[in-house]
Amino acid sequence: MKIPAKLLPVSLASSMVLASFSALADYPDGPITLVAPYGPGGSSDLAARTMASSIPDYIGGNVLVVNRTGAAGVVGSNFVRNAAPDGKTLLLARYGSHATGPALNPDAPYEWDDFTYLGMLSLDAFVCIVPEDSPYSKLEEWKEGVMANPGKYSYSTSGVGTGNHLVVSLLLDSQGIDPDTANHVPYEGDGEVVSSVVGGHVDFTCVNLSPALGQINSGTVKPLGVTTPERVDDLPNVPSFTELGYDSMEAGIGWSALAGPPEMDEDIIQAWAEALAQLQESESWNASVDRLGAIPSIMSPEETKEFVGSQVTVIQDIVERLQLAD
Amino acid sequence: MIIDNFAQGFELFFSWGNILAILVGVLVGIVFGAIPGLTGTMAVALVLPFTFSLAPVTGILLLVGVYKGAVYGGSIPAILIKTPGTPGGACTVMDGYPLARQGKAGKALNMALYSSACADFISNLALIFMAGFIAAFALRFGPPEFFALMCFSLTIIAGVSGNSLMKGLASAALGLLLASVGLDIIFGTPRFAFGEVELTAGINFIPILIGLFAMPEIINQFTKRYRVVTRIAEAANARVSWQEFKGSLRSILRGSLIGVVLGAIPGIGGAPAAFVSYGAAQRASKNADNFGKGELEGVAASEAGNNGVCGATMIPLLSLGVPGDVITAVILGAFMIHGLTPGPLLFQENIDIVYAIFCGILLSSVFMVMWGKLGIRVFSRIADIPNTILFPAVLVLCVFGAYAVNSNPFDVLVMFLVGILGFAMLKGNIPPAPFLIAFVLGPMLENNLRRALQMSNGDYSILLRNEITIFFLALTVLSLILITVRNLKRWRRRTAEKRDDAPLTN
Repeated sequence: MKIPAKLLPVSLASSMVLASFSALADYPDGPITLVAPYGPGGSSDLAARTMASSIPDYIGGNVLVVNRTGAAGVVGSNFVRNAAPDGKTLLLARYGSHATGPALNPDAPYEWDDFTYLGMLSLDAFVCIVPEDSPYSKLEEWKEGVMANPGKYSYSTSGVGTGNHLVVSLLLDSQGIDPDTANHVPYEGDGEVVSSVVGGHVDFTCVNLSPALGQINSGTVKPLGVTTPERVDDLPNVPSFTELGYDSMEAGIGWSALAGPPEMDEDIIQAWAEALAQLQESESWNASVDRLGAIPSIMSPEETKEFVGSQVTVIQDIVERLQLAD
Repeated sequence: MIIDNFAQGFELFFSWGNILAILVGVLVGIVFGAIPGLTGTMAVALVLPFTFSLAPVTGILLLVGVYKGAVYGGSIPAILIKTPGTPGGACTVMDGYPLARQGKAGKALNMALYSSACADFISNLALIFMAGFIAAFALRFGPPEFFALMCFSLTIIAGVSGNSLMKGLASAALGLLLASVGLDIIFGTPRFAFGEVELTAGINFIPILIGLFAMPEIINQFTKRYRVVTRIAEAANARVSWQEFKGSLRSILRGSLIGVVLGAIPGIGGAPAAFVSYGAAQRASKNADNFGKGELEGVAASEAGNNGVCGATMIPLLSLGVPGDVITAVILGAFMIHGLTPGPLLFQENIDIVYAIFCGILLSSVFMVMWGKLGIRVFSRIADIPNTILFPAVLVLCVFGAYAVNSNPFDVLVMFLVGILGFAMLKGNIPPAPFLIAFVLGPMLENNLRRALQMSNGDYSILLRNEITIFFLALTVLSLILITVRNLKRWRRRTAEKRDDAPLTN
């Protein structure tokens, strides 16, 4: 077929439109890989798997969860950032991997906005806890105790630059306690963090609600407060830090969002926004998320980016002020 | 009371669905465990979504079955193709593979099965009858106690060093060096990462495992021009006689207990338990020198330690709500998805579910023997495949396994590089086991020492804070003295032999 030179750009453009149209009309034309950047069994992995088991009806394709772990979520996230933006490789982005990680780790290979945000899935309250036999069970008493005994108390986190490292820093900062007053004992993973408090090896920590819920309910740890603005349904008797007068703790709300490589096609973004809007109505998904101790919170792509962006601004400010990244 | 609970639990348990769930679970687990690179963790994570729609007891039993099967399954490739299917199987390689080369693959496989099933059963009994007591003890393990335990565990390097302690230590040093790659735990500073994102995550365990054991064997086969067929697999040789089983029984029991104690302490896992059990068996054995050369008792000890863990990891999970390892972390997720929260409350509110799970768990040991017996018939044929076909196939499996762990081509590269290192070690007669032990235990030792010192604000007296740390540190010192004395004796004997030999050779 001969095409006059003058018409070449037009025909090229139209064939490209056609090509991309046909590619998107049947998105997804195969299984979608959802990378969970943390290990199996954790909150992020479970968030990914509950989503993957409910979403096929709405997105029209199967979602396969793959754990690519390492360096506090950086390895898996970086893999997705460098993947083709064809909607076949997506990421379960987390508070730790995207909000606190890049802010606390100057060597992180990406920024929070190097990704296409497809939607928020759920929010996770953080809860600050002390062991059962701790002399303190209220925030005020605890604060006075820590301030009066510099160097005596220690806290666990799941590692430098992780979500709960930042939330503990937020807690100390909100109470006007110098970060060096207490000793930082980094562990690996939320499970170890919780058991370090249950065993009384450290004196406090802040951790995602879901791994701590059972311990709180059975009384093996005592909660000081939750980071959500309101109290959470699972713990009606535990005050929120906001109601105690420390609303800066709201920067310590964890989340799970669906993200993809940068510069994804608008049509794929739209397909996911619609699928997630339907997921919001799914009873089984809502129930599963609830049971995991998270709060189902579907947001549109724009809302998601705005939510994460404003949270990151607050976090960066704190990290700078407290020189946490040094 | 416990009988009432069992009656209640049995009522809830007894349905074809539940029995089928364990039956299928154990099989799926064995298959995953037996394929290098497909770990039990992966199997449990993949099966998890299927349990969402099942009844809670059925779903959890399916996962428990997969878990138990996978831990046993790891021993099969360890024995047959020198490639441990799971980290815990690494220790089984040391005697299992030499046995297979001697034409006793079937015997080694059977011993691994019996030992695994016994240890599994003992571990389950410990879970059912002593959970509260053991959980309280396990919770006392904080960083200082871990540190002391790891010090003691590292002394087994001397036992697996073969003829030369120096070579063993060199091997361990290499392992420590590779283990230190990645982010430092206290400050998050990259070590030996050279600016590579992949390296900041540290070096993955499975590629090391495959590279260290299977690759050198494959390279070695390719360098041989003529192959000497040494294996004559006789049917009579496949059986484990009652005498042989009885001979290993002490090691099986000891290994099971070691597995129970180490398994109940969150964060240790099967591989250290297998090595500690193996070390203890070797110390107690009259044939200590034959360990590592094809000692049936070595296989039994390793597998008992390894499987003794997997009932016990459920102890902290069920009684405290704290998972004992990665797989029980996934099982914890399954509990939560079904609206159940493991911990003291579960025993108050859902005692029937707890005991229904206990019934199923006891049954899983039986199914393990059943599938294992069937499997061994099929699998032991692998030892009869000619090397020209077997080793290329194993190579493919190795590459696949290294990749599958984290779907990362970088891991395949690591496997090949470690494989070349392993081949050099094989040629230099440097034993790989110390490397592996140091690689697994080294970071635990370092991290817990540093955690302990963070807790105490730099005060070393925290390392002697209670009878647990003192006990293990004293054991460490005692072991070191024994090792020194034994090596001095050996050195004297050798120099004496040389002196005696001298006139003869002249």
